[in-house]
Amino acid sequence: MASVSVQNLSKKFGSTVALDQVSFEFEDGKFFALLGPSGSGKTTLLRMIAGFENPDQGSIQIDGKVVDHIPVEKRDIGMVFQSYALFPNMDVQANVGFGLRVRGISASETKRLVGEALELVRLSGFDDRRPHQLSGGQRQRVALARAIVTKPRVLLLDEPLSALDRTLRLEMEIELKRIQRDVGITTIFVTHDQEEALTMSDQIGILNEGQLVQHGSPVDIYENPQSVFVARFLGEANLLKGQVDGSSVNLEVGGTIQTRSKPASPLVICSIRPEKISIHKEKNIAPSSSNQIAGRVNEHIFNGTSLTYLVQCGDQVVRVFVQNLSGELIAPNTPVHLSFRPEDTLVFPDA
Amino acid sequence: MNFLKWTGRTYLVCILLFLYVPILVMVALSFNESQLYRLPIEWSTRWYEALANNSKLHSATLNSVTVAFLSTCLSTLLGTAVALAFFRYHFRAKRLLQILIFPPITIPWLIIGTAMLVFFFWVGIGRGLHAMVLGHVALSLPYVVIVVSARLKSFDSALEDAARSLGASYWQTTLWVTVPWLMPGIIAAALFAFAVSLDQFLISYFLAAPGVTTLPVEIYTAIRKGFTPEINAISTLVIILSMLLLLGVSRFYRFGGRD
Repeated sequence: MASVSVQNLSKKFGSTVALDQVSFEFEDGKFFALLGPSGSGKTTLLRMIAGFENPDQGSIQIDGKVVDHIPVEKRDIGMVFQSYALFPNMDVQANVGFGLRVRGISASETKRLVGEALELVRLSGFDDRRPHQLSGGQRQRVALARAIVTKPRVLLLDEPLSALDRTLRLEMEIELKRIQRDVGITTIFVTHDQEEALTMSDQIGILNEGQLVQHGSPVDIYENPQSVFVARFLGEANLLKGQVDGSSVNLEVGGTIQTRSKPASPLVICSIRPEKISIHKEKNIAPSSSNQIAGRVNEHIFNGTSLTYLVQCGDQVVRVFVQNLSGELIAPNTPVHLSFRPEDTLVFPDA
Repeated sequence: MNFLKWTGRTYLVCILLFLYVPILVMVALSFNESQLYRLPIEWSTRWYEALANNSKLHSATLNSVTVAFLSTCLSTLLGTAVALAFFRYHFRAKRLLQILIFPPITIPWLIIGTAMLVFFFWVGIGRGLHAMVLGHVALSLPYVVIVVSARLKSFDSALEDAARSLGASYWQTTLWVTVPWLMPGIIAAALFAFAVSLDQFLISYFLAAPGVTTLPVEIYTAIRKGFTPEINAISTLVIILSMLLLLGVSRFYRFGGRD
């Protein structure tokens, strides 16, 4: 178990910048998600911490010690790969025991530790199966057992759930989190799936075009995104353009609204989460302090527990999530009023 | 449609006849009593019995197998290493080097043989079985590189990354993960190299020391002295061996890639 710290990491591949001055502290025993679109540099950062890539600039510390010149095999990390990378010529026992075998640990001790690891991932009794005889979820568990059996200082996960179907993925998310908590290992998890990042991690770092654009707890980033990119990338956001008029904003779609903070430039983009908007057929049902805009229902999508309305406001479509409390739907083409609190209306300069 | 099908089949039959009729004739005649190829064929195994007492052919066969075995070991080892280097590393002039591997396939053997003879004399290697081994290694190396590289194309390099992340050194990764995975390709490559060496005539002819020859060279010499059905008999045996080798290769190496 150890903390990981990266300082000013930069890396170029040819003329493309993969990482640009990234600094981050991964605290001991926590679960971190590195989230970003493809090509954002998140995998490069993970492979750098593992030692597969060397930074052009900057430095990496594990447990307070600089590891820049320590090769992968001496870094004492555990890694789970996107393709799982189970050795096809070895059975489960040999796969999980591989790291112990290269460390010269005795056969009986290896057997005991492998048994423990398989029990932890709930795969006891699968010892002599070959990888091709296992399902996707089982391979995933073997890969995880193999990565943690050597008790590494850091566990690195490279999009480990992306190859699984949805049901299995949700199940593995919970499993992975449980195992991480049981073992208490510092875990860094790369994903492009925002839901995964939100549900699993203690801390999220969001990368875009090689830069760490924001980091913090899932709730903090979700509620306080510091840029349009983050607002849109983590969760859904309705983005409405407007012009500043004193302390309020005149929206292009019509209506004048108040925002959480004072707008800093004349042209702004306002961001409102779909679930923070209420929808009414009558005007003035919401408290007068609320922002209100008018629109017309385009379509509704019934999900059982919730409803999504697509509301045409001016030339833009605003998404609204409502809990299914009454079981009544507002029919398409009905004129509606959308209201949302100024605290939930974030404002960003329009570049 | 029917016409196309019919033409296609005729074409296929013609090709197979073209390839196999001469061989079948030779095999048939090796079982013919008459030395003068008189027909009809009278069944006899006398030419095979004659082989049993032909000590020249025996030693030539032994030489052939020895040279083939040694050159196969060497070229498989070297060729696998070359394929791995091409797979793992990106370096300057890699493309050029990849092209430079192939001339033994394209340059006429006569020219390669002459060049080798001149070179081996110049550096003092001279002629003999050891020179043949070296020559055959140079010839079979490109085949090994091609076959092993083809297998490496479907190798997930995350396997090597995984081994290293688990603490395996470079050699442990290679020997415990990469090579076992490559094994079918390596075996196919070795069988290829063995066949190339066993079939090789020109280079062996050039590099043979007087009195120490391989089987193809010995057969050629025998033909020049006067063709006997004994040659048909030994050739038949060689064909059977080659066919077995080919079967072995196709067991480990899918011709024309994966389905």
